[in-house]
Amino acid sequence: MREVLEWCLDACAAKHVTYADGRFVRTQSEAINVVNGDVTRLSSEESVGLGVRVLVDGAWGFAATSDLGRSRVEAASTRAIAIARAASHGRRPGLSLGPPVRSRGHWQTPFLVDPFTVPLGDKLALLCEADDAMARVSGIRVRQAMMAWDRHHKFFGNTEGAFVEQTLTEVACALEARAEVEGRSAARSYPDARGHHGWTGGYEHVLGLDLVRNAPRIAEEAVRLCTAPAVSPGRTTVVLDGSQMAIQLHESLAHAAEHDRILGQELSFAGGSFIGPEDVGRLDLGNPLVNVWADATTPGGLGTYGFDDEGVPAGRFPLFVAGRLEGLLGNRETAALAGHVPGGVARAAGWNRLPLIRMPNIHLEPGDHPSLEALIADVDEGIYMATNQAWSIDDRREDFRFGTEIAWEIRKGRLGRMLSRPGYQGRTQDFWRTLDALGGPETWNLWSVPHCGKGQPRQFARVSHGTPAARFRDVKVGA
Amino acid sequence: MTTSGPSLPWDEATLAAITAEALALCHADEAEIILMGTDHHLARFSQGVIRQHTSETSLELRVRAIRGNSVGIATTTDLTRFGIERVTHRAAAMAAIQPPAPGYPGLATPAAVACIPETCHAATLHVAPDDRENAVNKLMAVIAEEGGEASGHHATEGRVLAVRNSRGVWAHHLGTRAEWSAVASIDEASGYAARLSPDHRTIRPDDLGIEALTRALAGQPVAPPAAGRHRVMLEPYAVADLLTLLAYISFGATAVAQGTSFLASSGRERVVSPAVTLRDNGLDPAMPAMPFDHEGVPRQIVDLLREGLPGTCVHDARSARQAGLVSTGHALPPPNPYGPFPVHLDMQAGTHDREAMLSALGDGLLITRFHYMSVLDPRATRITGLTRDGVLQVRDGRIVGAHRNARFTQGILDMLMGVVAIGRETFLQGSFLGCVRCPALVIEGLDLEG
Repeated sequence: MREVLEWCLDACAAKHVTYADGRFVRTQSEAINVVNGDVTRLSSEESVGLGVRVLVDGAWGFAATSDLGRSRVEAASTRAIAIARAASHGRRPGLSLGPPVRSRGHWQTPFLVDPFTVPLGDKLALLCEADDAMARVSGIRVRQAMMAWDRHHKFFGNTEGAFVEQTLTEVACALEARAEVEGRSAARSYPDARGHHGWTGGYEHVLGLDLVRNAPRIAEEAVRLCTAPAVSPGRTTVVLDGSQMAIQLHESLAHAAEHDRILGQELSFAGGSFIGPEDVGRLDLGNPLVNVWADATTPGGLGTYGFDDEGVPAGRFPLFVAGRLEGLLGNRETAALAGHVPGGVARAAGWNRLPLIRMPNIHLEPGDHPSLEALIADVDEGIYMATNQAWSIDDRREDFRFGTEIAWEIRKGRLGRMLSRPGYQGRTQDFWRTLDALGGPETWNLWSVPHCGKGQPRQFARVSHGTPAARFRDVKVGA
Repeated sequence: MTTSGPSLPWDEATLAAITAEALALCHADEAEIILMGTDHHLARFSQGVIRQHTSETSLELRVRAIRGNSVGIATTTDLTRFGIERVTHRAAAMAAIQPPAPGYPGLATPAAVACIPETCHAATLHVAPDDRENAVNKLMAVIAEEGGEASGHHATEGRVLAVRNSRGVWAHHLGTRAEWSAVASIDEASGYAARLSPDHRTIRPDDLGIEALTRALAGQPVAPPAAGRHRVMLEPYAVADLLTLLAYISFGATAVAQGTSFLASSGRERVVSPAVTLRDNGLDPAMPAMPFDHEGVPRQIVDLLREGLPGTCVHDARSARQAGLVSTGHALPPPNPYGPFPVHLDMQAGTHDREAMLSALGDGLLITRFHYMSVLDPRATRITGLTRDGVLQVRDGRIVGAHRNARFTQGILDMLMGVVAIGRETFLQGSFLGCVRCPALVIEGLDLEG
């Protein structure tokens, strides 16, 4: 594959471009879906191609091809140069990428059991057993069990001398039970909703979940939710589980810290941010409990890799320290513009997509409450909400409303009745100020956001968030 | 306009040869071969410059291998002889492992596919990079002249789909689509415009710039509208947002079979205003038409809502068999655990011109589009979301100012039950499902949270 990259970079160098990089990517994906006992998907997908990106006279051009013959690869390079030249007319000069990136090396996801070597029959048997366990619960109308595993073999090279090779391996699985009782419907998922709870790593992650033991539990909860009272509208103390905290962090702080949004470059599609270009070191959420880190090195995270798609080594750096904004998620271009060090967070969803600023794993550091019970013990009256189900936030990442699959009332420090249709809403900066306690490391886990959309053509990224359970006071709640 | 730009690299003979080779190499009882190609070119712009200018040419092969009632699916973009051999072997191997599926409907049999003229426009295929840049510059200049900043995108695409199976189906189609979006920003105010067309020449970028700019010039937003129910006029962009989400949660056969669609529990009673008729129409050449689906089944026009009454959902072969019906020709590419979806939404226009629409609104709000809508209760079509790029105050049929964005939480059917007036002009737009053609609506009540 090095040869294919050389064809592409040589063709660019011959045309005297300012900069060029090429990415050869082969992605293999296999998946199984079992719905109500039927195997509705058993698939093996492969996508192979090359993307070439060039900088000419201060403008970018990008071309991708699935035909890897030499003439087609060189034609893609020529096409990228032509469209960069077109975009450069009238361009303001001065686009800089900062110091050259000359990374060399190889990185691969560590794992114990290669998911591609586990017999398909074993995987299918596991999902069918979990499906059977859900089927034994009366009132369940739809049962779903899924598993997927992917391998991304990536080669990156640029005209500055970088050449890196990476092999990323991912696994994912999930269960969902949808009940229907007395005309009402409710769903529960395990370990998380959105049909894809994943990790970088091997099949050991799937085995560690104990799908079969948890299947009847979620099925029974779904049935009970159908007749559970709905959350009453009002203001109260809310304790959120790690799953919901992951989406809260993802939507309200992580996306807001993307430098392209902050600069207005995503205004027409993904949106902007409440954070301004000059806010680093100044914006303060007013809560010392808010310590947020970007970390592309977390073992098992879906946003874990060795190098980003600009060849920048993966790293770990702070976004918020004791509530104060200390960093942004930027690529080489935005980092150079702001005088920052690039964080290694430019990622593309495949060979046919342009690398964009995409969050790696973003984590909220744990606090000092040793358990969920300890967080709840201080609550006289409130609601505990678990497993994200719905999410919506405005285009500046300020006004949000989230829903979870399930909730329980909290009375005098203990969990009480199950509640259905839980939801809460607020404004980002106000909300984070009301955070008054965080669970300790015992409550901290990695949760997945498997379909984070951005860019045109649309790109979906996978990312993990390490989050503890957390407690917020005076939150607007409702069904 | 020059014609020196890219053109589709795959003709009918190439598609026929690749699919025939794959079919011959697939050692299974039966097989289906799908080729999907794209030649896609796009420029994204913001703050007066094109920031992303991309081009993709790719062709992908998908194989469904069938052994008895067991189905294995494999895909690849490696179309060398070796790559085609491997993908057919992988599909057959997958089928060998799968337990028999009692619901397997069998492959499609040959059927007459509608001939849709003019779905492929050379002008759309042949937009050279310089022409694209000039068009984008025209739009940006219109907005800059009034002190605004433009952002948005312009894309053109040629698409091929070819389906061949071992029962004799052979269908292929070439289509084009051109798409624009534009946001005009003036300080805190913003406006939006967007269009989709199979023919690049029918969209005038400067007109789009003016349309977006007009909304941004309506005034700086000072505060969100008061909380409560508002009479509103929804621009076609907002209507398209609602219809797309409604289609996603309601009009696919899987949602009906699983009981999450309102169609699963509704009888023949009215669910929306009798003025509302919505269909899926993949055969209209003014849309990016597609005469057959990814199983090679001819596409039918399906009434989803007819004069306020619930219509029917769309089907692929599997869901149709489960329901005891025939496929409506709405299969998505395999592997697809989600079932069929309507991808050519077409809402019937009304009789009101824009002035009459604003008069029908009287005192109320003009909503440009929605943002980040999320489903709270699919069967009740209850969603939450926010307004975006223009909430304008209308008094006595005239725009008098602008508000900040606000959140709403409401059922889509509830909104559509209160339709007061329907515009006679329709806009064709892209959506995450495919495309939507719809008019503006005046509706009695939108529940805003302030």
